[in-house]
Amino acid sequence: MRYTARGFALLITITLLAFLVLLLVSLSSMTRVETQVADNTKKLSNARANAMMALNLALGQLQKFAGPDKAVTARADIISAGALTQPYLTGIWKTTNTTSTPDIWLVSGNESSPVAKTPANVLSPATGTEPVVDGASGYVFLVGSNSVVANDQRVRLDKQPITAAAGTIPGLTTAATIGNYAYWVGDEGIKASASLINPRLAANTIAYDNATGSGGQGDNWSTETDKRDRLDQMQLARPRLEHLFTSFNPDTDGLTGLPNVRSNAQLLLMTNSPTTGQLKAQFYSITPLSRAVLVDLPNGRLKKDLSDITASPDPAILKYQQTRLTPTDVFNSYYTPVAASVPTATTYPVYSLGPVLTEVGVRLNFYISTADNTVHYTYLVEAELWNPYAAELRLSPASPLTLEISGLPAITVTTDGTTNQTFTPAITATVNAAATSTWTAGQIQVFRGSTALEPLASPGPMSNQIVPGATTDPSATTVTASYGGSIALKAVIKVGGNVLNTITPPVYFGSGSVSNGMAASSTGWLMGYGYTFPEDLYVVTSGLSGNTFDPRMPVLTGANTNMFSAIWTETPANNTAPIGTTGTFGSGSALTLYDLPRQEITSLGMLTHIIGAKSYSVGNNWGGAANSVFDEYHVSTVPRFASTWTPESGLPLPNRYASVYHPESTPLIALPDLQSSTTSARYLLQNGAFNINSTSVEAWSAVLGSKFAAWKYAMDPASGITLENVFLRMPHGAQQLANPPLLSGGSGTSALNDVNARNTSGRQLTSAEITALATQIVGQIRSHGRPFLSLQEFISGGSIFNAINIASINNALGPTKIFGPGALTQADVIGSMAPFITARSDTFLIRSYGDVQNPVTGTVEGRAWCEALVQRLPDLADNASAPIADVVAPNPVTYSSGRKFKIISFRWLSASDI
Amino acid sequence: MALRFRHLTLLAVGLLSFWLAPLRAQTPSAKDDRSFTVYSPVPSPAWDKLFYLAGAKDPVKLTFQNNRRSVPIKPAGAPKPLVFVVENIDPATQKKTYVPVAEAAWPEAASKALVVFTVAGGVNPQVQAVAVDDGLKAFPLRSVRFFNTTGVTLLAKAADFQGEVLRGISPSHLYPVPSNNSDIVGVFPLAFAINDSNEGAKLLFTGNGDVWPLGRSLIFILPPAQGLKEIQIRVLVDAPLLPKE
Repeated sequence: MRYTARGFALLITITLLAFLVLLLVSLSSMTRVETQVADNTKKLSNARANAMMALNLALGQLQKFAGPDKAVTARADIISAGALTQPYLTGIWKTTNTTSTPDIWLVSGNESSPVAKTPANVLSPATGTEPVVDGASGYVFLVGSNSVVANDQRVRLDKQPITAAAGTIPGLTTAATIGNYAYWVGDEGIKASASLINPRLAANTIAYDNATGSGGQGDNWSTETDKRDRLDQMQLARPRLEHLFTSFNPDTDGLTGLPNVRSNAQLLLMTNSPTTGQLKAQFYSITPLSRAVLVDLPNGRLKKDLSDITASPDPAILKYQQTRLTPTDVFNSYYTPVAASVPTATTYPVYSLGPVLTEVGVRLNFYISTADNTVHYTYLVEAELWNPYAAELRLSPASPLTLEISGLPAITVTTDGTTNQTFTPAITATVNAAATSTWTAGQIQVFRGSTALEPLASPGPMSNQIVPGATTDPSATTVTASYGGSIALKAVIKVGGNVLNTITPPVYFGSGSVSNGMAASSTGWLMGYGYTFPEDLYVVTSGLSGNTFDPRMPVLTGANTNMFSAIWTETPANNTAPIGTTGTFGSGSALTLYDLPRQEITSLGMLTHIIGAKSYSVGNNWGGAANSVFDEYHVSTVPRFASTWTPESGLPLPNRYASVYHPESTPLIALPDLQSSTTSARYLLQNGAFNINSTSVEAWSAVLGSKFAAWKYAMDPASGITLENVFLRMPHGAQQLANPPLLSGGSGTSALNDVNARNTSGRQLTSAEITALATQIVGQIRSHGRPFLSLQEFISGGSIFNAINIASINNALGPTKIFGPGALTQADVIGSMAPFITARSDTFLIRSYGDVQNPVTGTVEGRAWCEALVQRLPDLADNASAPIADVVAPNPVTYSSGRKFKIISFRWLSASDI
Repeated sequence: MALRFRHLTLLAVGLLSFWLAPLRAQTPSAKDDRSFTVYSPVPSPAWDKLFYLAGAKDPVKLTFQNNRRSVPIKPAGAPKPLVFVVENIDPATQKKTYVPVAEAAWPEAASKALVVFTVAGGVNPQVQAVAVDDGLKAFPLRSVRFFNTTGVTLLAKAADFQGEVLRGISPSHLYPVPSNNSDIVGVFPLAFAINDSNEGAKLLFTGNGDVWPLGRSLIFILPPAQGLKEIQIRVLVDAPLLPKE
């Protein structure tokens, strides 16, 4: 029994010892694992710290170079049409830099020398092993095959070493690499914004009363639904994602989801979403939301707000903004003629709202009356008047049009008797207002008569009177009228006594004489004087050559009418035919060229109808200085009279590309500051900002042309028609015209032909034409060799104009109609984009990498990738509480860092996210 | 004697018949009211030297008016081509000679004619003359005729007429007159086009013609002037007195 008991104790002891050993071993293992985990965590933390450092380096470079207002951004492939090693680098150019070399390429390795790493000398993305290769020739992918579809779209960069100084690492006496980093900055402003929807279709619609108390200047967005619907016509309704993802319809599939998208990957969660492959293919073309500060690039300050009409830059613009037509029904409106208040203004010609005198003539006859043996002279006036606007013109009987013709030569009348009288005809005629009370949009009418001008269907009588001073001459059988030459014919059209237009054509009429005999009444004409506008639509719609002009100019002289016609020659004796109605100003069909506001202007593009001595100057390459409005102004559409709208209400603005920005220091915005022309941009951001230096064909194709599922107009007010890729020349009056926007290959009233092209509101493009146009636009931008430094430079440079020509968009029209309303012009494109275009980007995507390297073994022991979306804001980086005057126009010395960049989203990436 | 007297009588009657026969044949010409006027739609210095060769008489100087027919000129002799000459004066002898430059056949059955002069182009321009029936039967009041000098057939619309206008003079086409008031000059639609074999109908001119209650209009269609694209239009209006009923 004893032996048994002692053995048991030993066994227990040994067992306990074994458990103890096991416990010790276990504890040791656990400690070892925990230590290893802690070590790995520390290395990962260090790697992330290095990645964050890289991110901060990138952000610092952005702040330094892109913080000031006077800077533009572009992708590397803008500088060369040929192949680049790495075309997806982002460069920043100061607005004084007119070279192809930017002030910095935003990529790691350029910290001390900003253009050391260039698109030509960084690593080629076409080869390499993802995601990273260590070692002396190590590199890292920041954009890899999980982000893009093609190898050459990847971004592969050298790893930049993080070096510890000598002596800082125990046991090492020399400097050593303790980690590596890399960063790449992507320009999000050159992409189309995916999260923007048509706000009119959303639940939070524009529905507030901005009319009450406005004196007719505001609009009631709650009750005037036609006006609210018309907002879709003022600019691109929304980016066209369906151009990139054919199965996805943003208006139905993304109406609720899209506004919440914060990363492209979230698009995969939408109904009828794109595939992963489709999404990767658009990595460089779409972004969730690009926003921009409303900056006047050339002047280095915030833009001024044209919606504040109290600060309108010119009486002409003010007058145009204040114009409101009288509605007759949902789609139709009319105006009554209003004379220009500043008819001699040259910077912004003030056009009269009224008919244009396109042709006028007076024909004369002399004869000896068999009734009284005196010399009679007769004259007949003809006037061709044109309503150039996309609205009805109504004359008030109380304020009829009058036509005054002067500058006719002194005429000496001689008979074969002794009578010899000299007189100078002066003619004043009144257009019958009652008979012409309503002129349809674009209508051309010819009037005839002497003192009373009546429609041709029932013309007024000629004037028949005795030559002033002539006496009875019984012996006379022949009368001769001699006239001098070199006269200054002048025609003035007035309304209510105020001048609408004065036309002094530089027509030299020769001298001569005509003769006639005795007659019981006047028959035929002996001589005539007159002029006509060139029967050439190109002359009045283009601004490319010297003889082109805006036919509404208050004073037309010189080259404006420097063209004789078959009817009006320099020989008065040959001018005996009635005025012609051939061609452009034929009275057979309407010719509609200009638009008038029905509601508040929401796009600077509308100014193309008012600014410039040549038609459509604003937005076209002949606009010159007039195109500076796109840099200097924005149109906030901040309500002035809506009591329910406040900056904090969250209600959208009529300009769907403007959104209220609350500075951190200003949670409540003083409404007057937001309504002020000067300070408005302090509290606004441009949503969906699109940098016109974009070299992405896909991005361009997504911002070209609106779509309407059921566009209703006067000819189809019930069900409406489908419009695809449409650009509206007359966005306010589109519904009033007989023809819808024309379409290549269209039929009926939408057919692209010479007749329809005279009286349409715009143009539709086919999908193929959109692709061709976008391709050519990018080609034009790249051929420029550097980014455009302002919107004015881009527009006046004519990139889109050239692209339209090369893409043969208007080839179906004759050469005279390539700027007519049925054609697509650069101004049409710019007008549709005006609320969201900019020449620089303020939204950037930063991808950075960091790793930790063992300084002794050289082994990389931890690595991390991260991604941040950064946004430039109106606030100044150097002083968040700077006075508003400084924020509006910061002194570049005092505020050298410019406006503040802020990280608006951040995430760590795994290798599978790259 | 009686036989002799009878023979003399027969001879006298025969002679008288022989003498009267041609006179009877020429009875209408005894009341010859033929006349012609001249006009040219294009100015030319040649018109200042132009004469009508009036048979044995002195040539008649032609006086062109800008927008109306010239004063009527009586043609010389029986219907035969009207010959127009240019006067040359020898500077040494002051002797006048006349060189024929154009002739125009008298329009058949016409009592009034209009001779239209034009100048054919080229290095040595040649005067061309065409006489057209200008009487009220061929060209009544309240009607329009076309004189197409463009060298090609045109398509025309004038009032109710639509059709081809061949080169030269066209038939007359009546236009409606809305008022008999001579001071009311109404309009009728007027258009010209050309039928291009490649491009189809191409509109050259649209406009209006004058409606003259007491007149008629001859519309000349001329080729475009140098540097212009539009055809030229000249309108020749007159108000001839109606013959007494």
